[in-house]
Amino acid sequence: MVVLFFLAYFFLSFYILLGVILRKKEKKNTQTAYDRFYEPIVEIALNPETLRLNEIIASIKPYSRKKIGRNHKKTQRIAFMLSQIKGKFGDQINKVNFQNIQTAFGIPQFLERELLFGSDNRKILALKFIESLDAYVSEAILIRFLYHHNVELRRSARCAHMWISQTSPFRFFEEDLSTKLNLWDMIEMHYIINNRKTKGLPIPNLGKWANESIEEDMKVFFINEIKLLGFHDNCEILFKMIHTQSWRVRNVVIAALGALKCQKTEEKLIEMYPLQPEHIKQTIIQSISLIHSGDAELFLMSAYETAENQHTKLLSLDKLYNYSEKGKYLFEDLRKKALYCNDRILFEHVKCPFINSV
Amino acid sequence: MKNILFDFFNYFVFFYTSLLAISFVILSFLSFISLKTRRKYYLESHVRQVLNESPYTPGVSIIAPAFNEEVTIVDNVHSLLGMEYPKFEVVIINDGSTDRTLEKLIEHFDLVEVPYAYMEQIKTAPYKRTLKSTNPEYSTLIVIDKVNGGTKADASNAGINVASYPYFICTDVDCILDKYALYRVIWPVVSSDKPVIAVSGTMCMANGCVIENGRIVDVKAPRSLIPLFQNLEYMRSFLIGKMGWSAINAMPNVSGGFGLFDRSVVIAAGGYDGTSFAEDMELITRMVGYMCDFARPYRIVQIPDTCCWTEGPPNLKILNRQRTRWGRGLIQTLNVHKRMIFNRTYKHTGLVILPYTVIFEFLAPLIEIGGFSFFLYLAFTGGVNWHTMWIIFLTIYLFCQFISLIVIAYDYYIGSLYKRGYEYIWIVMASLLEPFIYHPFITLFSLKGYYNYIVSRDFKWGKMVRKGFSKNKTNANNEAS
Repeated sequence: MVVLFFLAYFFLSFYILLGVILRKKEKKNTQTAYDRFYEPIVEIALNPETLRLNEIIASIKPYSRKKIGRNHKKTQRIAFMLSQIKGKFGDQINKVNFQNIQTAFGIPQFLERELLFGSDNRKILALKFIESLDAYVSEAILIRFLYHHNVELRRSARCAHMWISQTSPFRFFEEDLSTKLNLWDMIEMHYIINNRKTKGLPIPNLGKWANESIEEDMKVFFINEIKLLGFHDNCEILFKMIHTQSWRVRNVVIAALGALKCQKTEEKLIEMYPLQPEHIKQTIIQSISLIHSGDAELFLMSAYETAENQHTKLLSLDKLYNYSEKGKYLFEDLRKKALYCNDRILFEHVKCPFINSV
Repeated sequence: MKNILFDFFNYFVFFYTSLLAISFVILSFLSFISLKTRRKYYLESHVRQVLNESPYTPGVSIIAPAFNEEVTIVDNVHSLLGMEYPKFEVVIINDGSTDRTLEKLIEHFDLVEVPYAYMEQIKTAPYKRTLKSTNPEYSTLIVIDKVNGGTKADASNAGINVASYPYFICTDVDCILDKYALYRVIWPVVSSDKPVIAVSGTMCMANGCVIENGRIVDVKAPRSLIPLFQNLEYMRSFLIGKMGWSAINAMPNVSGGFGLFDRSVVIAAGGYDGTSFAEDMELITRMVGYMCDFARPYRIVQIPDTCCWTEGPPNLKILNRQRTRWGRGLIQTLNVHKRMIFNRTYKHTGLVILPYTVIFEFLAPLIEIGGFSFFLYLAFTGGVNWHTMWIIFLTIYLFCQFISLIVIAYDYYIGSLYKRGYEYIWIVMASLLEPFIYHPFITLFSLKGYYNYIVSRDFKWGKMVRKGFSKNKTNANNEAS
């Protein structure tokens, strides 16, 4: 037993020593790559003037002793560096120059190689680079992973496909109406859809999927997207969903209708208000305030008067105070009538300029 | 009869030690799985880029109670406000400080009293007032002034009442958080298919590190003995213990120094228990109890990234106070939640974690002291087979070293905390000495904690002596010790 532990101890010591040496080497190489390329890349990426590929290669070449783009480790280091630069400078980056930098460093070929011959983990990393760098690989390479048994690889591949596909980026919305989504899926899909919108690419009508999806997560995602992308055409579909049985879906439908300023909803929301659970009541108050028809002061006042929950009271007072001049007048009227200390503080809270709006 | 008792004790200790060793090996293996899964899919620059632009990104409130922290408060609040994350606020709770903590905050951050509608969802000591800054640069800062409740738990509860985001991080005002800690800690929440109710980040000792403007700029191992031992203990606890338990969703505890919680679940479970001596472990046990009672799915996750640096007790006196409290808290928590032990309703917590805690954490100091006394008795009566004793001793000693080396190997695997290889020599040195110098004290302090709990001795929280991390370049170790 003692001998066994001695052996294990020395094996681990050797492993750690090896790790120290390899880490030092890796650190040195990474630092060298940063020293050589970081400044010139940032300079080219932030240059408002669009440079030709030849010019970019020429300006990078003096910093590079060997041909770049062939060595896997080296290209991966550059890919990480580019990802950091994109994260740091965001919109300031000249997109054409950034694409040309990637071509100069052989990033598209590197990603294709990773996707063809890499392990599953390397494939996933390559797929994440596609989004992160706004890189391009052939759609045909992605196809094989779209129905892969490895869930993480499949998810990443679908996102990447949505990102680069010119033919049918949203095909999975048709196929996966019963898919469960986690918050990261929603965040990533929103990022992709929003990116398409920024680039001026067409975005399909999401209303049909909002209505037809079986899974609640998908419904919620599509309704939220309708709200965030401002698809006013879908108001009618959402309006029909207002009495849906699920509280979660009903809540997002009401929030979306408010954000889309769907005027005809106001009457319906006021009518259904008394029978709703507290969190939906709060969403209705917010939606009424966003719709801003100009006639909702009395509703907001009565929402305050009938509320049993302090949060609802505070919210309705805040919305009433910021609604209109008449709202301010009614607010002052209510303030004078407030008898209890607990209620009076709500009025002071709403009026205080240093406290962020509710 | 004597022989039967001796045999029983021998076999008991043998099986107990073997089981403990096996559990460490299993935990190391589980931890490796967790580390591997984490390393596979996480491209931090991409995650930051996407979260920064997304309206779905969940907001996080950073809650930091402060009691007599006038030396460090301004630098530390600056450090918290300088965190990188698109949606966060900083809630500082002045827990009835008797020094100039509040005055310093008011002067430096241009604070004024505001008529804040404080809603007490969790009961706390009386609330006095809320202060906000008139300077828009500090609009995310909110300071609560309250009567001292005697515990950090009470102050944290006041912070939870005020927090406006769905998740909160509970930390100490003297802790130094990594600039990107919020992205790292929110990642398990957004990427999990099950609701994540708590996330624990890895903590390290700040003693020894070089700090500039409230940020760690150079990570070094502590150079004084007590923090060095503690550092090793933390690494072992986070990288093997908690990472291992996290793999099977059986986290026993989310550290009070840095942990992210789902605010709605914490409120529903009743918040921190102000009377508990181990409020962090108690809260997690209660949250798990709440989720299991209502048959709701949940996950509690440990992440390997170092998110927080804290100043560890620099001497035995303060270590004694800290560990006595932990010992007392452990027995108190087990006593309060005894109905959960071996109860199937509470899943891994009831069937694995709590029994493990009773057998290998609560009983360990008692068995150690019993075994040592028995050994002394045998040594004096000539009943020790010295040859076998040395073999057993060496085996156990080497096993301990083996586990410490695994921790260092894991640290390398995830991207090494220390950038210079020789820092690990300090850790290895600590590991070689720990069983003889540090461990006996920890055992004694735990026993003292049990004793204090049983005789209901009065408890005073005392004050952790801090010199603070100066605003300019400082070696924290020099100051703390």
